Amino acid sequence: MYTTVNDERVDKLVAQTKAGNQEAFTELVELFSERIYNLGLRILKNSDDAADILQETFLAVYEKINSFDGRSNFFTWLYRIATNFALMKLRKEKRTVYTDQDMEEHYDNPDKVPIHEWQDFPLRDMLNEEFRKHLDFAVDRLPEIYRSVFILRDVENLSIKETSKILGITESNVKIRLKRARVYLREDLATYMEEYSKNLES
Amino acid sequence: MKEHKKKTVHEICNYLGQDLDHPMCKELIQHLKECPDCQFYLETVKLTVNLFRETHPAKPVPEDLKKKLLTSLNLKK
Repeated sequence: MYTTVNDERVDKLVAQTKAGNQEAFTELVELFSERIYNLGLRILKNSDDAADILQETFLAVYEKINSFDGRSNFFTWLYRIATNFALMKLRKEKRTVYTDQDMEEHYDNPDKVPIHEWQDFPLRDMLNEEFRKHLDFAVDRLPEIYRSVFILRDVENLSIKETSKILGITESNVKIRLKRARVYLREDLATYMEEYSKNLES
Repeated sequence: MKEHKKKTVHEICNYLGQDLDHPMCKELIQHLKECPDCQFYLETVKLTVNLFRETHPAKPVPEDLKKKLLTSLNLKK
């Protein structure tokens, strides 16, 4: 997992960077590069795009650090900049996605939640490239806000509060979208495993 | 699907908006202990999240990208 970051150290480095100390900024870049690079990779699934996000984010941080007032956590501010860049890039892709209404109708209603059977076979044997691509494809069809919530909360392991601040939505909205995204992915995976099981039999 | 299961899945869905280990509803947790079907449903949702994490592990920033980044920011290591 990522390097553990000490908040007091970060506050000091931010203050030093604002005063023009380049060594302090170098340390900030080094402390957070891996997180931002992986956030880009997970949202955009492409190492070139992740590299762009990394560069654009730290250029923006360098340019805007004097306007960072410290009311929010530096970490949250940094993630917000990176997530916005990643989402802007994502919007340029032509993806077929479900709508918010689709998600609400199909993954929120006890009468409509499709409950697929979960096949019983060794899942660890399935963790190959094809399986990873299938999961990526499923996440690709999630509306942008669901994808962001899922990646920030479940993959990057940020709290609901942090996710809410980064995306500028309420904590209730984070929870409801997280719930639908998780149920959607569970059902998608169950269907995939059903197909996988049929192929094994044939 | 049995009525109780539909209702419980809906409750599980609400629970799922919380942190997965959050003890949000004692009644639901008690039900899960007694109902293998519902327990299995919740476990498979948790497993889905874990499988995504396992297939998308964090990668280190490539060395050449680190250098390029520091150069573009006019920073020296």
